[in-house]
Amino acid sequence: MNQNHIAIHNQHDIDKIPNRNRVRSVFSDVSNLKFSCINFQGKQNYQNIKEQQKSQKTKRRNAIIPCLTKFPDIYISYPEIKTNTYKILKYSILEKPILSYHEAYYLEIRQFEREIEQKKYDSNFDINQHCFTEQQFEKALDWMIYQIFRFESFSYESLFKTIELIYLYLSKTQQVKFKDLELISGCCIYLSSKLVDLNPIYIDDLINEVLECRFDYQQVLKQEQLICQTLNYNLLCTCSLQIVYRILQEIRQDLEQFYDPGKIENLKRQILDNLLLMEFGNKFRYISQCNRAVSCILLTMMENKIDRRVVNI
Amino acid sequence: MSQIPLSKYHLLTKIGQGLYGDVYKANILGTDQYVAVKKIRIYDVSVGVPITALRETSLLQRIQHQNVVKILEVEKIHGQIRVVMEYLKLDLQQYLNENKDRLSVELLKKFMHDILSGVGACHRLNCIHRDIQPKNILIQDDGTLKIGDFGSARVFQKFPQFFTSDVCDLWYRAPELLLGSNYYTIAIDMWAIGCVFAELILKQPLFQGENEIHQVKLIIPNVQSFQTVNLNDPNLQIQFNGIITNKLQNLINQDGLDLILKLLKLDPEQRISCSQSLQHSFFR
Repeated sequence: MNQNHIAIHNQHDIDKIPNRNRVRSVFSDVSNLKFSCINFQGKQNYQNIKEQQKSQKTKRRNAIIPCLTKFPDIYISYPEIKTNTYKILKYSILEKPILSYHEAYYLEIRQFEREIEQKKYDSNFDINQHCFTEQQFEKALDWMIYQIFRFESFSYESLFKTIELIYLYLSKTQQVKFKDLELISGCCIYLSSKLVDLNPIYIDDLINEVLECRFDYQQVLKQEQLICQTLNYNLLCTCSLQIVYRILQEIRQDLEQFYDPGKIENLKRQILDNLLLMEFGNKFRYISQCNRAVSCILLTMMENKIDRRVVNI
Repeated sequence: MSQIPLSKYHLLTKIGQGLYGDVYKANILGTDQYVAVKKIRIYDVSVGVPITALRETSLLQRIQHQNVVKILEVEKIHGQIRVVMEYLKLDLQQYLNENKDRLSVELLKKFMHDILSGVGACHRLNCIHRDIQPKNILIQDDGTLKIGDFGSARVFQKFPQFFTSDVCDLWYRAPELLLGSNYYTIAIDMWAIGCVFAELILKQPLFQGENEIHQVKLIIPNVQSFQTVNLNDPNLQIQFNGIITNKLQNLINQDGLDLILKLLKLDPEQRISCSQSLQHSFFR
């Protein structure tokens, strides 16, 4: 699919807002979320803002590009070769039966998501309580993401967790200076990597590669303890990522009927990138996580002209 | 002593050893209330706060359930992290050792109900406990069971997902783990619960393997090669059900046996979940 197609399609879609609403209501059925009026408006605004933002802030895009280069085979092989060559059994024989196992836990997961949705979101902070501006903050996050994309073992999950941790920490502190932001985000990378990844990042790598030797062991460890103490050793937080994964798993079968695995993989990556863009904008923090997740999927599907049948199912 | 003690708690005796530190019985100064204090040992200064400690504290603070151990506070003293939890005298293993009589069906029901609802609360929050064994199940004075030791628990965002396969005590390890899969789900907890259930009835662990290979051979006796084991083979399941039924036939009623067989399915896909098993006719 070429770029013109997408652009034309986008314009086309903006004209047809009623259609979009229909899709949204269908999605609210799928994901069992209630879209209140405010969220509804917020989301429309958000989609407009986001499209503007994407066209204006090209710098952001640069930060994302390194991750695309990680998966070149998918991009090369996608449109022409429609064989299932990369469906080669990558995992053990045990994998397939486990995949369908989540049916049994479906109700529990639903319940859990409903709880998240109802819970007041507490990691929002007022930019005025700190000594830096919004631009500076976004720049710091940008820099951080650029740094950690170089690590192979660093997963999307820990990336989202890092962002969440930074927000959580900043919402519980006062008067953080801009020059400390770097250290804080470095420590959050370390913490979330320890928490999430199978092979956590080494502290040497963190200091040498990510922080570029500007801080030493003692400073990092001290800051780490400080973060832990501020958060009262409670580092659990939910990210919209897990809701995206859940919805994607649900619609996976329908997608597989219409598209080949390469396309789906591609789509998934785009959804995650979109979500990442949204995750670190401060103005999107007021949209609830479930809504963020759903709107990201929706947006990406529209960009890619996904068959309406998939969306409607 | 002239020095003012910094801690609110006075450590009394060591009562156990966790995965990453020693557990002490302590009392709150000025009162006669007892708490359990877990001192977190920092093995390696260069790693910072140990990850097991972080996982345990964050999970316990999130899971507020009557069948899960309560965390009271995390305090930091002399550069040492101490996790303060409620003090429970007994654990299930001690209870089974001291109590030689067979448990009544009512007690079995209550115990299983408590375990299943505790673990179920943990599963609802997208978290796998990964270390369920009688030692980690504590008993309150009034007989309520509480799940403890979340040192190896972890949260997952999507599942199945890749994790370390070297988890769980050997005797309670699910077959898919024994076969070396690191691609597992909360089903491994259900297998462990099944083993605990059987242990409550038998008064001794169900499968006491000496090493991993022996453990697999106990579960699947005539295994030829570990690479070719297919867990969703119905013949294997029938054979396995036979073993279990032989062991437990006269000790438990039909409903209980049925629940055990459902918990101890070789195929992780077919194992029932916590909420499903709480609906089982055994509890009626």
